[in-house]
Amino acid sequence: MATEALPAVAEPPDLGEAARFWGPRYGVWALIVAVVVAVGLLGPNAAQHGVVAAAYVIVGLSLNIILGYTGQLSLGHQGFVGAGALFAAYSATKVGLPFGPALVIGVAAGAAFALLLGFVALRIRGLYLALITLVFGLALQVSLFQAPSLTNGGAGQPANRPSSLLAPDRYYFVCLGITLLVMYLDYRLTKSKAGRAFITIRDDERVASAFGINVTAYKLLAFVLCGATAGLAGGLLAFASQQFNGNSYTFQLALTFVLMTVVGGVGSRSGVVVGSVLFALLHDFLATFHPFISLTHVLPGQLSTNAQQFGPDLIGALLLLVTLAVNPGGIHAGIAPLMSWLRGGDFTRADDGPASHGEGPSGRP
Amino acid sequence: MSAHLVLASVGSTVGTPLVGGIVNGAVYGLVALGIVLLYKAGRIFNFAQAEFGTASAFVTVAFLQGIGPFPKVPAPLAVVAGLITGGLLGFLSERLIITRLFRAPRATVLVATAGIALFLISLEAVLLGVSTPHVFPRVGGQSHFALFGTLQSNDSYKFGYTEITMVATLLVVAGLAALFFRTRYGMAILAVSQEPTAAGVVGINVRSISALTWVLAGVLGAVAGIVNAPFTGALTPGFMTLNGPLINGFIGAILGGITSFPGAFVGGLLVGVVSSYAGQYMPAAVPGGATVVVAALLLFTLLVRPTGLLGQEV
Repeated sequence: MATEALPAVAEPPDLGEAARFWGPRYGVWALIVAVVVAVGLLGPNAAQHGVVAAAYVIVGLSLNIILGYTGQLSLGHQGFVGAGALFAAYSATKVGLPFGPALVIGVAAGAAFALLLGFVALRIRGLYLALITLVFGLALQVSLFQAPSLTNGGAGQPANRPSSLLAPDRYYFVCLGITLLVMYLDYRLTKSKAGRAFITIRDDERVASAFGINVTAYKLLAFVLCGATAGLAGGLLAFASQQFNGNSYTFQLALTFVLMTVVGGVGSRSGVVVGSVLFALLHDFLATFHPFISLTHVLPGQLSTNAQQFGPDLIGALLLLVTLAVNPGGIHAGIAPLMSWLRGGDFTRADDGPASHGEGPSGRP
Repeated sequence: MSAHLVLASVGSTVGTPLVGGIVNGAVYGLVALGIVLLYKAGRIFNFAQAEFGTASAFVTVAFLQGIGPFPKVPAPLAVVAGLITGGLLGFLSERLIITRLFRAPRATVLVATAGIALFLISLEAVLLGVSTPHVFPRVGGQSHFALFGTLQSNDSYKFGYTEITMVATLLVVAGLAALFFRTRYGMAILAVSQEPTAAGVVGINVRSISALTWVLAGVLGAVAGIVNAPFTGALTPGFMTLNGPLINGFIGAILGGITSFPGAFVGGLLVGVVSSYAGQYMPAAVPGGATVVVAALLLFTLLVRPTGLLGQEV
C-alpha cells in the first residue's frame, strides 16, 4: 500500500498562479517514500512480503498495458508469469547463468510466449480473446510447468539467488528498483507514439486503422510488451522463493491478477499499483492480524479453524464485490483526489478518470 | 486445470472412455448452456456459473444427509432445495452486483462474476472445511445414487445414471429452446439483449426480465452441479469451478458458437469425449495431454470457423 504514490506521475499540471502549498505535499511524498524504504528495513519477513508485492505490481502494470491501453483482457497471465519464472530458474540452475542474465531469459520467455499466442489470437477480439488466453495459460500450466525435464522431475526447479542478494532486504531493494524502472518505462510508453496508438486502438480499431495505424502490429507489440513484463515478474518471483514450482501458477492466480488490476482501476497506474499491493499482502496480513484471529475464536469448534484458514479469502472476495458494487471505477476513483493533490492540483479536483477500457458498456439490460 | 484428473476418477469406474466422456461432456454441456443463456441475454461471461452448481450440490447433500441445521429429507425434496438454492444465488448475484455494473465495461462485469465465484468458494471452505470431504450419498449400499430408483448393483449403476444424465440434459436443452423460440418470455430476453431501451418502450419490464434470466441461469447451474456430484465422489469447496466443469463449459460454449443452445450442448459433449480419449491415449510422458488437445481443438475451430460450430452471430 505504501507504494501507492510512487508511479511516475506527470509533471504537476501548471495551474497558473493558483496558490500552491508544496510543504504538506512534500511531507506526504516523504512519508510514502519512508514507508516503502522501511519495508526493507523491518526484517526478513517484511522484506519477503515486499518482494512479492513488487512482483505483483509489475504483473498489474503488465495487465494494464493490455487491458488498460489496448482494451484486451488476458486471463492466462499465470502462463506468462510462470514461463518467466520457469526459464529464469532453469537458466540460473541448469545453465548456470548469473542473476541478471537469468532474469533477461525470463523476460524473453514471457515475450516469446506472448508473441506465439499473439500470432494466433489477434484475429479474435473482445471476450473471445480472453477465453483464448485462458485456455493458453491453462495449457502451459498443465503441460510445460509440469514437464519433468524442466522442473527437476516435478520436484521444482531451484533458483538460488547469488550470495550478494541472499539477504531478503537486499533483494527487496533490487526488486523495488526494478519496479520503479518498469513504472517509469510504462509512463514513457504512454507518452510515446506506440502508447497513443494503443489508446486509439482501444477506443476504435476502425478509426485507428483509418488514421494509418497498423492495428495488428501494435496489438502484437502490446501483447509482447505485456508478456515480457509478466515474464520479468515471474523471474523475480522465482528468485524470491528460490524455486520454481509449477503448482503455484494456477488459474486462480491469473484470476487474482485480473482482479487486482480491475479493482485498482484499469488504465490508472496509481490505482493498479495500490490494487496489486493490496492483493499481494491482504491474505497474509489478515492471517496474522490479531483482532481477526480473536474474532474467529468466537466461532464454535471446527468453524473457528476453518475461518482462520479461509476467512482471509472470504474477506478478500467480499471486499472485491463491495468495491465493484459501490464503485465500479475501483480504487482509482477513491484515490484520484489524493493523487491529484499530490501532483500539485486541488484535492477535490477529479483526475481525468480511469480511461474507459474499450468495448463500451456491457450492453446488458 | 484438471480435466484429466476428473476423468481419471470417472474413467476408473466407468467402462470406456466414451461413456466417461459423455458423462463429463453432459455436465460441461449443462454449464455451457447457462453460460450461453447469460451471454445471449446480456453479453456477459459468467464465471460464477459452475459455482452456482457447487453451492447447490452442497445444499442437496446437506438435506440428503441432514448435516448441521438441515433436516434430513427425501431425495426429490433435497434436489428441489438444491435447484431453489441455484435460482436464489442467480437472483442475488443479479440484484446485488450485476445491476450496479450496468454501465461498467465488460471486463469489470467479468471480474465481478469471478468475484462471486471466489466468494462462494471461500464461504463453502469456511462453512465446511476441506479436511472432511462430503460424499454425495448414493442410496443402497453407500455407493449407489438411486435417486431415480434405477440402480441395483455396483457395475450397472453408473451406466443407468449416465443415461439419466443424458436424458435430463436433453430435456433441459429442449426446454430452453422451447422457452426461447416458443414463448413471449424468450422473445423478451432477446429483445432486451438487443436494445434495452426499445424493449422498455414496447412494454417489456427490463429489470424483471434480467432478474428472471439470472434465476434461470442459477437453476441451470444447480442442475449441472447436482448431476455432477455423484460422479465426483468426495465434494470439495469449488469442485465445479476448480476441477474442470467451468472452463470446459466455457470451451464447449465457444466451440458451439457462444449464442447457440444446441451448439453449447454439442460443444460440451465434444470437449468431454475428446478430453476423455486424449487422457486415455496421449502418452503419459506428455503431462496434461488432455488439456493440450482440447486447447488445440478450440484454437483450430476458431481459426477455421470463428463463429463456432453452430453459431450465427458473433
